Amino acid sequence: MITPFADVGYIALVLALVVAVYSAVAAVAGQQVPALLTSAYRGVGAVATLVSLAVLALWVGLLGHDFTVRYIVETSSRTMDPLALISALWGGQAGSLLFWAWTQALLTGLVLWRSRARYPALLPVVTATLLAVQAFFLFLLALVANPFARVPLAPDDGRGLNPLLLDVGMRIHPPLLLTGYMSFVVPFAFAVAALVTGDLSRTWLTAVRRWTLLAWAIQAAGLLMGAWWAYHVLGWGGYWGWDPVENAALLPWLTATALLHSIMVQERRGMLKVWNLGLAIGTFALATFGTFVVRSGVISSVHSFAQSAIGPYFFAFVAVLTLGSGGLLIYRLPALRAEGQFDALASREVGFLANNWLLLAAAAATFWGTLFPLLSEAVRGVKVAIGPQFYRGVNGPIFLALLVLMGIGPLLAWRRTSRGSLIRNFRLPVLAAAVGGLALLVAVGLDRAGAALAFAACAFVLGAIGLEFGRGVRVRRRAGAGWGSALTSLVTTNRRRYGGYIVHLGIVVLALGVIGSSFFQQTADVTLRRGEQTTIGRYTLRYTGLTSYREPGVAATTAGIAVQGATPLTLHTERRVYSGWEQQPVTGVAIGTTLPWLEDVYVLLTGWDDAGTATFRVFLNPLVALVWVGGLLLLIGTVIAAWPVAVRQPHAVRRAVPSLVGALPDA
Amino acid sequence: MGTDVVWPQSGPVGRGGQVRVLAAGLLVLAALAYLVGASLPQGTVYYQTVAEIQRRPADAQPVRVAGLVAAGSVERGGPAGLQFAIADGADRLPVVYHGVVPDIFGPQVEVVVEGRRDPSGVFQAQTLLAKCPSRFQSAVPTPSGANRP
Repeated sequence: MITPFADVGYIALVLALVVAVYSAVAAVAGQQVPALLTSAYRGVGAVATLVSLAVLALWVGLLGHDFTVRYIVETSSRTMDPLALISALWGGQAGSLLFWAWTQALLTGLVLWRSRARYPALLPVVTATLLAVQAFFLFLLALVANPFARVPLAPDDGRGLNPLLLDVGMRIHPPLLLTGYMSFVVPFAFAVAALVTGDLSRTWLTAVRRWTLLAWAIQAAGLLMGAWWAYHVLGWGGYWGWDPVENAALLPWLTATALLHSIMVQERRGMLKVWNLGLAIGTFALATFGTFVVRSGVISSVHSFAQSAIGPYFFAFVAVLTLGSGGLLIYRLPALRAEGQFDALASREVGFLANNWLLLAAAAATFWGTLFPLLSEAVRGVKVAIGPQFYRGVNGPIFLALLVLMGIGPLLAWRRTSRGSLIRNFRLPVLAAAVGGLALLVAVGLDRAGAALAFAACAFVLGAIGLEFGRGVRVRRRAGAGWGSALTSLVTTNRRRYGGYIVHLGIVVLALGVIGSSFFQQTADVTLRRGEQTTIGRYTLRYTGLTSYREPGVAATTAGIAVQGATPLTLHTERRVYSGWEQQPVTGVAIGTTLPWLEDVYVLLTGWDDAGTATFRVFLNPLVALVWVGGLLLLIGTVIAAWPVAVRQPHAVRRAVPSLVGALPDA
Repeated sequence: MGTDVVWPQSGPVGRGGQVRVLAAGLLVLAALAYLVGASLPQGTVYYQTVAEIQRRPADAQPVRVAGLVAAGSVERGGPAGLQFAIADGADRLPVVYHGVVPDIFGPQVEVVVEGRRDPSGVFQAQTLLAKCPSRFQSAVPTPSGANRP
């Protein structure tokens, strides 16, 4: 069916580009001419409307099977259900760029709506920066990677989305990551605005912190969903493979984590100004680099899209934004003097600084490992691959140090910590670590001392977080509150601090899962006749037989596995063949989480013969469930920390009672 | 405030504090350099062409070899595992692999194997990756070749 929607969509994109360029210029000029500023702000609404129209047009085309459009031919087919068709919007390269442009247009509107009254001096430049980035993506869409380009001869049916992408996790994970990448543009825009206007006040800090937290949380959710998808669909038994595309998504998240911590040093002590601006700029540069890596196919990866013409444009864009904002930063250096100094090593600010160094070290190593194969081929002409061993070897110890620091930092005082309070504060966590570490060493044996050490670090942090909660609750208990209400009021009255601790708790729980599954994974390849059984760890797996079934568009063969253990489980692993993708059958992984040991029995049907004898790969993955629980805790903590300050009573109170604000604890 | 020009981010820091902080920073940097130096050799796997690997004696270090699965060379199953040959131009390399075969594996598919060549000249692969040039967009070339660079 040929529809005019593709033309409508393309015209909307071109108009959006024109309006974005005009409004960006008008916003800059509007600092002198108020009328122009008003028109620039209206332009933001117009861009958002026009890009939304383009997205709508592509969705109408996808749902209406308009196979005159190349993108629709390449990413959809008649057998796909409506939800799958909707997710085809980000199933290919041009559509992903359109999705980025769309979410950015909406976010720019949100920034304008939320921040117009609060930061009147900063907002013209913020808006101009956001629109300039927007214009770059619209330019790509209009002239280089047009999602509405037609094919000369329309086929009867499209090729459909790759079966691997039909999973629910895949419908959520790419848009989340793209949105995460994109949202780092807001802290970047505020950094540029601060450099242009010279306003690095407390209000600026608040704006950067909040918008960074939002982007950070979205990116975290995207990373977690990606890990979930890899674990549940790809069938290699793991959730993180240090693939270039995964690394690219992790990089801005690491630097944003650093920024969220170091910004507290600027809030409290007026230090690290250049550092923080650099982090905000660098994070967005890395996010753009990530989008570039994901969407250009420059680095070979399981995620690679088709190579295309957008590469050089992205490269130029990253270069311009890094050099431009770097130049601004150098120009403003004289105004960015620190107001304080580091007094002692055992102080909160040095704790934050060390956290930043470690996060940046991890980011640098990851960046190096990701780019090394490219450099090696370009410079030495030697083709290499950097495997997970490199990342485990470098990032493992760094993350372990970060984990320990996460327990130490919150127990340090600003400026300097006295010897007495050091002993008082660290008695309990160190005891927890020592007892936990020794107990585990006995349990797992000396040959896995690394695991015991890592678990001990977790115990240390749990002790430290517990101490912080315990003290707060005890004070409220003395005031006569019950346990429950004491805990609730503790968190609700200091959401930023205790929300932060819940995020830390989430990280520890996640770390427990990572340690458990990377040190204690077991694997077996088995061939079983019907009724035969095999054992892995403390579980017996019995193969109950093979069945086949057919559904529209898919034929599947399913093997049943009965797991005997403390909790009996029935698992079904299958091989699905989607019509149109006969060359690429998809394996359905069966995963059962056992109680009370939280071990995942992970079974994969790898082959079978006519007699019904089947081959399986079996993994035993301890504690992986904690990765998801920890991730969820992390997100809950972020919402607790960000929500009320961002929505209710934020600014008026802070401005009215600066002395009180100064006394508030930062977490 | 000191009178001399100081790096703005750290400020005019008094004696002990700044030195110690700087020392701690250098320590982190040194640790990073050590970790990278120690882990890079373990994590680096070199690519060799079929011709290169056949010219050289059997190596202790695992290497990667990329090429197309030669048509008619695939033998599945049995205790010997998966056997096939990688074709790279006119050169062919026999490969043996035990383990999970990727879903998209088959004749004429581009694969990357990682492992060692044994003395008899057979490549013992520990990992087998099947590459689809544009895996997530489309597995089949378009009639017009629109999707190809």
